[in-house]
This record gives sequence, structure tokens and C-alpha cells, in this order.
Amino acid sequence: MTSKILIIVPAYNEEQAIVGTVQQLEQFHEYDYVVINDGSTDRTKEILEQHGFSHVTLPVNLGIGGAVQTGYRYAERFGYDYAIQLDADGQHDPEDLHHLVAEMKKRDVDMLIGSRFLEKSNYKGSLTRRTGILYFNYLLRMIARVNITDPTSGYRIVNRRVIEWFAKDYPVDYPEVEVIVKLARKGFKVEETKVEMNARQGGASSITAVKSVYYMAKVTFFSLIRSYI
Amino acid sequence: MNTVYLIVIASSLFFLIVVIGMTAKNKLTDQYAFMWLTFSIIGVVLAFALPYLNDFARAIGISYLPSLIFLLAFLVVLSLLIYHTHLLSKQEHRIKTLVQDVAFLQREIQEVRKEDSRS
Repeated sequence: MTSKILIIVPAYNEEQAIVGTVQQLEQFHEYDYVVINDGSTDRTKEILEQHGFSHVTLPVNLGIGGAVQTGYRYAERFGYDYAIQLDADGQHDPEDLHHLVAEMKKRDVDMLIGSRFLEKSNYKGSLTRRTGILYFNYLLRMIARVNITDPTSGYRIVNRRVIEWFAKDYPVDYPEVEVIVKLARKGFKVEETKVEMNARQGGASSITAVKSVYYMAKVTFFSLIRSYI
Repeated sequence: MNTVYLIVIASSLFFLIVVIGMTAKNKLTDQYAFMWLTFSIIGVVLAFALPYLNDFARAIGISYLPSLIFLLAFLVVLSLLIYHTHLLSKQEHRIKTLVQDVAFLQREIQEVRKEDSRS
């Protein structure tokens, strides 16, 4: 029996990159995809409709957490066995999809994260970004007892159990690291595998220096409070 | 009876009237209307009891009554704020679910329309 696999593509103001990303995804006939248009203020909605791309448009902006959760609720509704998160901005290479799915089935884990750092890759992030990643790696080893080299990676695949869990409960902002802590502490198995990441095709990263401090502080507090109390 | 005493009573009565007015015009939902009515009645009672409060403050070792009132008022306002943030979070969560549901429904409507136009 073939398993039903959904690719969730959260998109907020991605009019430049969305067509390229989705056209690449459409090459993979064995996977379904859904673009979650998170109340974009640019032409993302019109572009999605013009091209007839599969999408769900949120009438107002919910932020990354609410948008991604919409994808998981969609996956839950329509009975998908696996869900893959993939950024709309072209950073995540669809060529890795087969690899993610194959590894996921082989290892039988609950969440598999695509990592840029497991082997040498072409990724070069800013210093703040790399510091943050190192810090989160340390935090996860301390609190959740998992060694994730690329904890902020949004390129990830989860199984049905996690889909159902995320459909009910998903962090509002900066969810990537927090969900690893939650899953690991609930006894779900979280592992990672190597993927390639490109420089973004359009748009700007949502993470500025001030935000990254907030990101680190928020994840630390929440991980500590929600894990131990 | 001094001026300050009169001002305190007048403002507490004014507050009570505002709350009653807002309740009558349905500008406050029942549970909040009731909460504010209770607060404003307590306010009026305290305003009238001001002289006795002075004695009470002295009895428990507070020589300056306003500091007792400020402390109590501060604690009440703080708990109200936390309560409101709690309500706000609950509302946000509900709105998020509704927004997602609306988006799903819109998608379904579009799909049905497409099928209709084909047949």
C-alpha cells in the first residue's frame, strides 16, 4: 500500500518565489501539496489562483505557527500518513523529498528533520544565525536529550501520530525548536538527516538580530517551564 | 467632612453610574458587567467608609492611609490585567481556529464551484 504524503508550504508574501517552488513540487506526482497562504498582502493569492495551485488562503495573517498548523489540520482531515514542511522561498530543495520520505520509512521515527550541518554542505548563514543554532543545539541536548545539528530547520517530515498532535497543539511563533522539545519529552522519536539548502530566491528572512534574541529567550523559557512544570 | 472626602464619594458614585449606564446599553457582556458592578459598589462603600478606614489603617500600623488604598488598588488592577490577558489568549486561540476553518470552507466552496461549472 502506498502512503499518502502531503507537502505543506507556508507562504507569506512570497509572490516572487512561489511559482518556482510549486512548479518544482508538481513534478512529484506521488506527493500532494498544499500552499498555506497566510493572509499575504502582496499578489500571492492571485498568483496561486491564476496557476490553479492547490492552496488554502487564511483570511487574516496568523503568523508562521498558525499557518503551519493549518497545514497539519489539513493533513489530519484528509487522512495523510506523512506531512512534510517545505518553505515557499526556495531554500528547501525538493530534490531531497524522496530522501526524506525514504529515510522516514526506513528509520520508523516520528519526526525527521532535514539538516544542513550533518555533512559539509554549501550553507553559509549569518553569525547570529549560526550562534543561535549552536545555542539551540546545546539547549536540546540538555533539556530534550536529543542531538539535533540544525534545530531551526523548517524542512521536516512527521508521521500520522505527530500530525494529529500538531493539529491540536502547535506553538504560535518560532515553533521549530519548541516542538522538538515537546515531542522529545513526550517520548516521540526525533532524528535528522542530511539535506541541501539554497540561498533564498526572494523575500527576506523573518529573523532579525533583535528577533533572534527574543527567539532564543522565548524558546528557552517555554522549554524549561513547559517541560518541568 | 472635608473636600477630599466629598471628591472620593462623588467619583465613586460617578464610576457606578457609568458602569450602570454601560450595562443598560449592553456595552458590557453580562459577566464583565457584573464584575464591574461589584467593583463599583465596593468603591462606593469604601468611599463612605473612608473615616473608619483611617482608624483601621492606624490599628494595623499604617500611618498613611493612601498607601494602604494604593496597595489594594494595585493588587486588584494587577489581577484584573492577568485575568484579561488570560481572556485575550483564549480569544486569540478561538479566533485562530475560526480563521483556519473559514479558510478550509473557502477552499471547499471553490472546489464545489469548479465541479459545478464543469458539469
